[in-house]
Amino acid sequence: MSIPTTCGRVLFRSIATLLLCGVVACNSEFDPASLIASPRVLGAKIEVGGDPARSQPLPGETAEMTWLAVSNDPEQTWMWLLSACSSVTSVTGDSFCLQAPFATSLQGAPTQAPPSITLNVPATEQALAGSLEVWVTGIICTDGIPTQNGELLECDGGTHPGTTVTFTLDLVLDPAVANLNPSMDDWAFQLDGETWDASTPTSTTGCAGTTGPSLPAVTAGTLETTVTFQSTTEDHETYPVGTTATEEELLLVSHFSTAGEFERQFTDIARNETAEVTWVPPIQASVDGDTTRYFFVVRDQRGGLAWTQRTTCTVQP
Amino acid sequence: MFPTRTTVTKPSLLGALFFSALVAVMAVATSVLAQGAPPDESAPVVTPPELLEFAQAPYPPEAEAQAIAATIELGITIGVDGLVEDAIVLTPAEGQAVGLGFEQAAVEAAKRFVFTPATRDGEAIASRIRYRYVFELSPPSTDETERAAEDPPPPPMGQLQGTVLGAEKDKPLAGAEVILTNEQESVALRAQTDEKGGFFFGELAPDTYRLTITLPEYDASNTEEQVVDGEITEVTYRLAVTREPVSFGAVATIDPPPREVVRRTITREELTRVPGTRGDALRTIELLPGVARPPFGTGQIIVRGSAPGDSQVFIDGTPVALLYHFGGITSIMNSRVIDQIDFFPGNFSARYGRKMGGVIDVTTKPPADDALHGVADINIIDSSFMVETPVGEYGSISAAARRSYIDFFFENLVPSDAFNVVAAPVYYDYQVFSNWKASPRDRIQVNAYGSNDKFALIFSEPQDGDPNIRGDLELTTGFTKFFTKWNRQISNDLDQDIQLAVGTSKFDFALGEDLRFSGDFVDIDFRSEWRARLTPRVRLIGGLDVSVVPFDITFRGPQPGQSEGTADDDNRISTVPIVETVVDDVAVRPAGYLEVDLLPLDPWRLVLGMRTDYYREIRSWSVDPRLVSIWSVRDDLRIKAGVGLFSQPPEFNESDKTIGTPDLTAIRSLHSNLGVEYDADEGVTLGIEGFHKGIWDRVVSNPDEVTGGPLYVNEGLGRIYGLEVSGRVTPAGRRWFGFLSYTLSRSERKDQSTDDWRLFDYDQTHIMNASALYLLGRGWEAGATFRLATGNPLTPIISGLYNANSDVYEPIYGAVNSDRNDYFHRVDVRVEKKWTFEAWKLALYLDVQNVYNRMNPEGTLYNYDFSNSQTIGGLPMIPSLGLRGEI
Repeated sequence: MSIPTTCGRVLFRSIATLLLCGVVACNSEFDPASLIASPRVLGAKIEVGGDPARSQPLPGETAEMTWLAVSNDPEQTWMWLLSACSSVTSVTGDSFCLQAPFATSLQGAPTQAPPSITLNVPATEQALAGSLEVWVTGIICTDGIPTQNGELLECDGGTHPGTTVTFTLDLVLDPAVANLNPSMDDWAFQLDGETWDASTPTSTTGCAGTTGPSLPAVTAGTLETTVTFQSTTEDHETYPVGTTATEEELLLVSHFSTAGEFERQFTDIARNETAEVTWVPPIQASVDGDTTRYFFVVRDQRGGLAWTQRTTCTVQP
Repeated sequence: MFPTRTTVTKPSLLGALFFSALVAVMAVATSVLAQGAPPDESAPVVTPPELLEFAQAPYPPEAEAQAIAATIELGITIGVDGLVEDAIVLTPAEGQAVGLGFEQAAVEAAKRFVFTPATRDGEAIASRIRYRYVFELSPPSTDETERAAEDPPPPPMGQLQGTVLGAEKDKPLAGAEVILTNEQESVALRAQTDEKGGFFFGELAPDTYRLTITLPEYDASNTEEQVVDGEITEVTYRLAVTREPVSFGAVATIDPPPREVVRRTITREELTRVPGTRGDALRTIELLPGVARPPFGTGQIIVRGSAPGDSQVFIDGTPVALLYHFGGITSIMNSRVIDQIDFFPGNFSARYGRKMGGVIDVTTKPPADDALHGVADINIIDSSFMVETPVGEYGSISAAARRSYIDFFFENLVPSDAFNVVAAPVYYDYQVFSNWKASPRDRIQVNAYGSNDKFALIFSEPQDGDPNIRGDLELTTGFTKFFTKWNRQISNDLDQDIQLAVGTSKFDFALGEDLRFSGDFVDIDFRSEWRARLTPRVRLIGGLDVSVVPFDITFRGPQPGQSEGTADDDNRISTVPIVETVVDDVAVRPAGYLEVDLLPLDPWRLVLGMRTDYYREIRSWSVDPRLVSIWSVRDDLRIKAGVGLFSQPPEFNESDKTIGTPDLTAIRSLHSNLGVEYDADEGVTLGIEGFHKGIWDRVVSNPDEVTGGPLYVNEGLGRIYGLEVSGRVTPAGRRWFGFLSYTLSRSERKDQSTDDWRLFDYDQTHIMNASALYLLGRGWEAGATFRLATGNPLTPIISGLYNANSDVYEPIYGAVNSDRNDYFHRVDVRVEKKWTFEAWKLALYLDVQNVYNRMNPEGTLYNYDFSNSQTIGGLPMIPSLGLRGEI
């Protein structure tokens, strides 16, 4: 019978996965995924109108979807074209619109405001084509005009190709079972054992000068710095699985920096757990010091999201 | 009794020649008559073949240099014209003589023998005999040579020497009485055989002598022998045990005739010595024409543009689930227990089914029945041993085992921050084979073999690129199989094989919570085959081939796509839905086959085959007619052609009711071949062959699935065509052997009727392999293998799509298989030094793969958003040093 054949293919793929994960990837010449070397999109947050903690709207509700777009330049401007439609996803993960988009957001002129789209979710089952799934897709540009040619989305005339994005949102019929966004406002961050509060810099250099902001300093060329963070208990929601069981959310934190290198991009964090990740400072720094920005994005892996930002000043040894 | 004879003059090669099976029965018949038993008038009168022309085999050079003798027992098929149709090795060289080329030399010589054909009631019939070819050197000493020059010419006298053996076991018979008389009965000499069954009569006048041999419990022998002036006449006799009642008839093994257009056989001499294989017999398959190079050195068998899953490996006719440890490190069977490997790249016999690619049939070696032998091998990856010994008078047994020790140094190789090692990789395998000659007509094999691989890791944190790759990574594969086979020669013209293999196999793979595949199988394979000779020109082969597999499978992971051409091999699981299925079922696949082998004209052989399969899981039948034609233009030139239908059931996941489509049908393929094979010289064969495969009803993903259609449909097509050129030099009587093969081919697929043809995942336009091993003398041998192949097709990723749900970029693919890796090329070398001692041998070998450390491209690695890429290199230079001891 062909069962052994299937086994063989699974075996081959598992070996290939191991090779790629454990051996090949270690020798890659790429920038780490956690390094923000060019404009990036790091996530999208949905806040239901009137109940911003909720990430899942009901049919007929309005929700605001905001995209976390970042770059090395604190004054980076954005343009975007986003649309949302009632959709269905195939078993292989491809999404298809069942009807014409019910919401569209086109920002054709540069703005420092984050990309966003207002989702006026249709109220009726007919208007939703019988589906409780919403597919949001589009493109976020920095210097090109977002355009759509057939199925092709592009940043027309730009030097940066932009980022095509996708997000699938599950609607709920009962607000009591809707997922809530986590919040990082009360998370405890530490940098090498010292409290590390949120801050928003306005420039990328000059942080070491007397007129600059007071930022935690890290020394260029040192081995590594340890970052720890702890979630709040209420961020780990309990949700039903099947008809009788429940599970608690395991939060997934993505961490990024505009310089240096995190040891990895993702960290799991469970309730009452302190997560730790190391960050290696850049080799060099300017005389006046260089500002490094850090972005921490947490996902509850059910559509809820939050983010926060930290800053350090990398100084010369 | 039917003695074989060779006449040699000292000093020269001595050939001691034996007939057995048929000969033994003829001895029975003769002795019955000699004892005055009433002849059975209803029984046919059968006369055995007689050797008319003996051909001298060249002495293998290395063996000659080391003065090593050997005895090779052959099975010789003699046609109605008295010419040898086929000669095969039944008992190869043993001890120090292993691997020196005796077998091939004996076979090639035997093919030049000429006999008077055997007859039944006066009509010539084809027959098969056993023949023992003895290689022995008796070089003259200097003194003897000088004395010979000084001595007067020898008197006009001849000598007669011989050996008496038991017919069933070739056991020397001591104490037999040998009486020699001449026609006039003026001479009457008596001798008794010694411990080795030998006797000798010297100083005999040239004449014809009658020789009578008697021994209690054995049938007597009466023959006539010619003694020639100045020569030694050597004879060997086999006495059959007296049985009651005694039947009269020839025992002839009816081997299945060659029924394939292409059958490539790798003999035991070559199996473990091909450079670049680390002595692994099964890896030599990759060098044969029509076999594509698998990526990363994995053990996937890609035959003539077919998917790896389209081909099947059999061990003694029983399918095996896995061929290699960990997908390709080394094969699961000790190479020393393998007798030969037959590879059928297409248009194979109706005996094989359920596959539409190629077939590899591994024949295991019967354990040695003469004495204790053993081999132990230690290299940097694993250690193994094999011992074999006779058991009693009619039995023999062998045992082999191997274990890796990667686990001992694994933690030093793998970066400690990549993952925590729970169970380092370890594999082992074992084989126990037994052979019992229950009677002259019955042979019973009972074998057990198995294999196990295991390793486990824990990814301590989610992996970059896909946060769902985290947690435990486990891989366990293993199987145990018990195999028994009963071969019975029912009559002179009818053979029967019945074999049953029962075993369990297990496959577990897990990567975190979202990727799990666990399967437990009970593999039951039954085969019964009958081979009959209806007339000298018509043979019939029929059989049942039943596979019953109760299985229990749990799968959790992304929905499997179609088996090929999906361009979804980026192994990301966080951006796709997870499906789950639990299957507890029994796969039942019975089949019947019939094959008729016709000789309509003397040089023309026609093989008509038909196979019918039933696949319970899809409730579907297939009927596959097959035709092969072989035209022997000359003795050394054959034109072969074939056409046949082949069917293959869908993969289990494709026909599963939860994650597949149960209403699928079998995939079909039509094979067509035309080729020429030319024996350019002794042991030198050249061949060229064109082939075409058409495939339809391929299982492909259904684009209408999202709107409620079935997941899979039988709408895919395939076409494969190409040309193979091969050259082969066997070790027969020469200091080197080697292969040269080149394949030019194209393999394409079409997934939907509206699609264009595209390249198959493993299409390789050019594949060239050249391998040679040279015997340098003094126990040294060295060889090299060069491989060149077009790079595998690949599907480029043209951009990435940011998935905000999972913080992962999804690849956006270009046209499927629209790009290619660069050429692959590599040189492997092997050097071995063997020391031969009185009772054992020791070998030190170095096998280096990729000696110039070529960075062969195997794929493309992308950064997190697919905006940058780099080539993934294949295996670097890998030296393997080993030590092997043999007794």
